[in-house]
Amino acid sequence: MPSAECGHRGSETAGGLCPQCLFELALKSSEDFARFTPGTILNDRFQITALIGRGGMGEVYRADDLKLGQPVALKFVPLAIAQNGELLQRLYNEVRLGRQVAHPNVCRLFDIADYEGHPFIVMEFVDGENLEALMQRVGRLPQRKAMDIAREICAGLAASHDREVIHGDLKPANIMIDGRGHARVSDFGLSALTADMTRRTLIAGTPAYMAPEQRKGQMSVRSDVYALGLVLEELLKSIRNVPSELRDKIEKCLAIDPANRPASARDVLAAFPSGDLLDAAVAAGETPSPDLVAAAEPSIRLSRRLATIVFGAVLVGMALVVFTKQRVSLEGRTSLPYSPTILERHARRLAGAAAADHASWFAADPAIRFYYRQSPKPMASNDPDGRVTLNEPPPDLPGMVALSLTPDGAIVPVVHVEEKTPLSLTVYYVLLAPLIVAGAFVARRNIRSGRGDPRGARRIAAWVFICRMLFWVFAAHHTRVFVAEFASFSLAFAKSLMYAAEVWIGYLAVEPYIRRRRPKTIIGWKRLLEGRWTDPIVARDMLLGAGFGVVMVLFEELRRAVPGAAPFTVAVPALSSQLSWLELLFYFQTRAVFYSLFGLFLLLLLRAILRKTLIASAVWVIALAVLLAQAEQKPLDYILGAALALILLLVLNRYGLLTCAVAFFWYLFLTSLPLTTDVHRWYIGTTIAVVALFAASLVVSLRSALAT
Amino acid sequence: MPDPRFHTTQWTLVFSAAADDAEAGSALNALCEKYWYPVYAFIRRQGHDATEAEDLTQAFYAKLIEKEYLSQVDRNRGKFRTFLLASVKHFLYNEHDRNVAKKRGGGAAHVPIDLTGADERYASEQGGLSPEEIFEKRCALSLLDTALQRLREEYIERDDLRQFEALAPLLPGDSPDLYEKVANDLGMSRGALRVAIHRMRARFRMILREHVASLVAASDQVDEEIRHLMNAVTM
Repeated sequence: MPSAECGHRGSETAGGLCPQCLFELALKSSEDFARFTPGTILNDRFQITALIGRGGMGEVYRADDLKLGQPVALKFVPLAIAQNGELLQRLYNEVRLGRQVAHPNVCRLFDIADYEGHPFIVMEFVDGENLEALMQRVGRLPQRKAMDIAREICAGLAASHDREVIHGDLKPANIMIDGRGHARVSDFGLSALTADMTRRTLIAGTPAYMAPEQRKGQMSVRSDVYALGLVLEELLKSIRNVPSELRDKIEKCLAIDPANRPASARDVLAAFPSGDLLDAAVAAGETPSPDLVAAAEPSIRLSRRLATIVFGAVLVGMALVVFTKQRVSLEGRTSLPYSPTILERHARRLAGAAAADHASWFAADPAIRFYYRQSPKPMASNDPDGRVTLNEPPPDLPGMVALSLTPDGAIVPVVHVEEKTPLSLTVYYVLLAPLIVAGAFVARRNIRSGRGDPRGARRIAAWVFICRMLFWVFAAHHTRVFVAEFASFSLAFAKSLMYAAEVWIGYLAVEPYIRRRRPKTIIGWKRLLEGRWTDPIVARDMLLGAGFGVVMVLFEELRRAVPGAAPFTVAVPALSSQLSWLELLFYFQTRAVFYSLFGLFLLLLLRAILRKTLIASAVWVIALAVLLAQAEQKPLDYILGAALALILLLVLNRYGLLTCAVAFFWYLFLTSLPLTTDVHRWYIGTTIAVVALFAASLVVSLRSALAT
Repeated sequence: MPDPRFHTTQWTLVFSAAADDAEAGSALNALCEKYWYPVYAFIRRQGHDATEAEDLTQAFYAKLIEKEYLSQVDRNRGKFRTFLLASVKHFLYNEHDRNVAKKRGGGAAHVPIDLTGADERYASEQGGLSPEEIFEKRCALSLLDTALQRLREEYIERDDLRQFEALAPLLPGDSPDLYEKVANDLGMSRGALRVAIHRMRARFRMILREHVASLVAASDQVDEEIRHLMNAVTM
């Protein structure tokens, strides 16, 4: 018989069979033993692509799910389980439990199906190799990678422990490392079942990762914790800088008495440095909670020495800002012999008739002019900021006077510029409505799904409201007539409320997106929102923000210092009052935060759309450069605009939102103020106040930064 | 409670144990007893007659029990087959110089090895093979028999002896005529039959490989050993 069919010549048989053929059978590779050849379609649904493994569990195939168009892994159950009613029932139970666990670090179980009486499990296909194979291949994993994988294993196991799903046989062979290098814990409950089965009927030896109590047939979450401890120890054994807290925790995992072990993988996960937790959350596509973000450690810290150096450098920079400003700004180059108080008194005398109400201000048109208006009745302005302008209120009452003076008091004809009428509130809201509705929709979804940060949103909305009201106090035209003042107040109140509501919605809608994609950029921001003013990270952000702000102002001044450049006129309106800096202080705070938040969101959005970080960053910088080039639009303006945009990009990426907002604030604030080193100028008071404010903020920041 | 039938890893145990390890000794004996016929055939081919060969085989196993050869386990090559052959040769060489009959008459402990039918079996051995060749060939065939026996037992355990008997002829390779017949006999579709045969082959492959693995020192010697055994049966 052996010779007839196979052509082997041997005269002997083994049980009547050709011995050579039987040995050849044993020499075939396991791939030849795939029950299904590629292309086979099972149950009209799964098309086999390849045999990818053969483990204790049986054959594993890669297949395409033809209905859902996704690759899946099909794991065939050993016959010993399939033919044993009790074990099969347990298997169904394991699949029922296991498929509740959905986590990026868990290989998902989809279903259990049956092909010609042979059950198979449908699970997520992970393109990669298992940790055991990886460690054998590369020997030692790089420190960072090993920590990442360790944390991901914990996170995956923790997710299953949250659902009270026990793995039962955690070991490196059951941890897949996918194509992107992320860990996936697989075979929840399943391999435990196989191990259990083989222990009963076959040799298989003592599984090295099994908890002591498991050998006696007792299994709990803490048995997994034991195995986790062994896996982590193996993974991190060659790494020097494992935090001691984590080391201790791993040691506790290996306690003989389960009661002395950490209660679950979640507990072990907590021992990882929290910065890593943020990375893990981002990698896993999860949204870290605001508390987790606030508790995280940023990757860049400021040493005490460096903090002191930055402090000194920023102060020097500030001095340079003031010094340069005097030379490049219109107000610095113009002789301004009279203060607004004197000019106003002068104008009143010139206007003659008694007035119930008056207002005055400086403007650059394009030379510096002092404007004065008076009216026989209180002037109620419809200007968006509540200011009196040449056109607002309309000069239509008999007895109204409008005067224009040069800085040295000479009357010049009032040029009635046709001011751009600001958008009416109605138009504004018609334009903004779709955005607000969309924002509200997203915000609602975020709150419902628990992703939003309502506490943070409430705080920032309240702060915006307060700033806007204070801005009204300092910027608007006030009268002593109660009705007029009340009308102005009501309008400001309503508008501030609206503004705060918009910010509230916008923050709820946008912030979770930022927190999910780039949580590390908002660590300092979150801490400040929690009211931790003296937190070292907040202090670091304040210090660096002031530094970058000063650098940006210097850039701006440099742009004006180029021969032939138009002088710097932005600060002229702030000459109008000795307290104008207060008005700007509140105005630019909200602006800076708004721009920074929006800028960061835009950056992430561009990244998500364009997919390439570099292209997204380039588009962002160009857009910002155009905005920052402002009206003049000479090539140099674009270049300097791009430089400023690059600084902001760097700050956002490296130091985060708070640093960026602080930098932006100082940039906007300092460029808009008349600063001088000449103590004889009447607006020296503004310089002193602002420099004092700046220095005070720096000192507070430095103190907090050094406190740690 | 582990099934004693599947105690296949003793060679590793023997190999790694100290020479005076009692457990290792008994494991070795259990192992060697399975291979008595290759030993017997080897001795016969050395020119001993049936009675002499029976006595010598018994004596050899008595020596084994006394753990005489345990210390000679070749730690370099580490294969059971080589060890067994070397031990028999060593035994026969020493035995030459002694009065075999006396020694035997001296009441040496006899091990209960059942050599019934050994002579008849040997009568059908083909001529022209050296003692070593016959030993190796018999070892290879014993191994296959053990593996087949275990496969059969697994089917019996599942109450599938009928399937085993019907499918076994197809184990070494496909045969279209037989395929049809077996499918009819078992009342199976061709697809189901293919699956069943495939399963049987896969299982047999596993059993055989496990078994070979249990007789060599390291798992990377398995393929090499199977090739060697395959050559042995073609002689």
